[in-house]
Amino acid sequence: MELTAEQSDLLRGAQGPFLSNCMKLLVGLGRAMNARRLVPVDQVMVSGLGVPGHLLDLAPRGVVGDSMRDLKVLMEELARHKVKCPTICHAAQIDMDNPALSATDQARVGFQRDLLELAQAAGIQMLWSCVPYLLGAIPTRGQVCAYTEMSAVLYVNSVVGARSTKHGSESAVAAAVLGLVPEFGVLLDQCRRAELLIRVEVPLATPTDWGVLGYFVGAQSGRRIPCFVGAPVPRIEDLKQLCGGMSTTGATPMFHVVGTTPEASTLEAAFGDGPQPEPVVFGPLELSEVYRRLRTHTADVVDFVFVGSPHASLQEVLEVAQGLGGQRVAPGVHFVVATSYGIKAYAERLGYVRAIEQAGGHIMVDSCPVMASYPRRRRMVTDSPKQAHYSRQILGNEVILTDTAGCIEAAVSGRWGR
Amino acid sequence: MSGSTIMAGRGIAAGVVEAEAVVAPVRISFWGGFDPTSGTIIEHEHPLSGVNVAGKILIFISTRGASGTSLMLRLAQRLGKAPVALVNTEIDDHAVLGCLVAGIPMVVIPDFSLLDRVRTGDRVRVDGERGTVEVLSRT
Repeated sequence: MELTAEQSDLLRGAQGPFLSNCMKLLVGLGRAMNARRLVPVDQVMVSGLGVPGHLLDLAPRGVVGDSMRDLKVLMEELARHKVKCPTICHAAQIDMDNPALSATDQARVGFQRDLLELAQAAGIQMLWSCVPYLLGAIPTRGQVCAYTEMSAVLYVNSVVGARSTKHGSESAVAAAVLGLVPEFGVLLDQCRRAELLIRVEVPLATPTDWGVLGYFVGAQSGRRIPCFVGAPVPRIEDLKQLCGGMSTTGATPMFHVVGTTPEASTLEAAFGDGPQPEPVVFGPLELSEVYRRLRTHTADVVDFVFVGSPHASLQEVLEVAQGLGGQRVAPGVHFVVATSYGIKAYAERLGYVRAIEQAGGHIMVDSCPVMASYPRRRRMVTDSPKQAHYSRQILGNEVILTDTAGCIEAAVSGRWGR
Repeated sequence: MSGSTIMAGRGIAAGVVEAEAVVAPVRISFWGGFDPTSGTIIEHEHPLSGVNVAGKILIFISTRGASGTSLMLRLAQRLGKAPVALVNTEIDDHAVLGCLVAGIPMVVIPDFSLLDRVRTGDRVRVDGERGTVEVLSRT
């Protein structure tokens, strides 16, 4: 990799060990991925800047303390050096608005609050959401980004036409504090072409259907970039679920939807000079097969209903409030809608939060059940393929995937009835 | 095949280790699909579901899914439950980052037949500097 004199100095430690280590990591990643240089980054989404959740509760004593101490040291370094471009943060393990929903202890809540001060000093916008693009933290076409959360990586590359490779917590933090990323993969024009053709031959009626499409295609595509034809014009909630589903099973940072996404005005534009392969068909059978796989219930009584993965849009919170329509959540059912703090603020002003809470439901912010220290329940109904997939193994519950209306029905009746 | 078999690819993360191999033609999400406190693959309907990869040389296609792979590999390494090396047939950003930050040797050999030529239980040596994988003994 070719480094400028200034970058080489940083690497050698001219500005101290922290920036040197950050540079070593970006150079190491870049070398491995055959990058030729580092380029300026315009926006970064970091992750992991929050107290540990359930995964560490099983770890031997001392590991939680070590992790929190490491995180504090990291945040102090970031506060000292400051981020060099707009930087936002992925969801966390604690709902800071209602910590009881994430079942954590007060010490960790206090620690999490302290992180906000350090984040302010560092210049990091602690959005603690997986959907920064619903909060106005959105790049423009062609901007270089370093995103962590995979559904957001897919969204900014595919829907926005910005450019981000797949980062993890450490490389995103390094990118933010140096203002640089290694240039490889979808940062380059020639690596943004479609490689796999998916022909949609079934109506996609709900965002959940789009999520199912993403879940199916992610498993087919691996690292290849898929291109969709035959799909209707998606709503933003459809695209959010498509990204969520694909990010769960796939490894690709990008997709195209012909006629919708900016680099796929036509099939030819999406594939460029590359060959157009025989299409993989996504029809009624493929759709129902994913639903079948994500319905692992052994009985119809449910005790947990979850909406909002990726975090619900304001429209989705409105639809839940309207769908409840004054009905009450059944006794014994824990009904949660997860969203971002910003969307919740609007939903409060507009009366949606009151409607959901009066029905007996809860609004969770900053987090989601699989990221939070969530108590195990028996049977979960959700409208998110991503949450259904991960909650089976992380929370150990049975899952039932359905659309948002189906979630509301189950919350009110206490049963899965379709 | 008998005796020593050496396959060469690219060294991604340095380090030389010898251990038993776990081999599967799969992608793995280390966040959500792997328990870092035990080293077990926990993803349902996955060919490695329930398999403990702590201390093993894990030979598979590449990572997939969530971006927390590096955090989980670091945590597993801290707890002594990480694989001792990764060998992949595709190079994926998440696996590379995870191995760099957790100090786990990594080699990429872009040849799918690798997943047939090495078998679970084989004793294997991985050199993350030279980019080689050597089968030392067969099960």
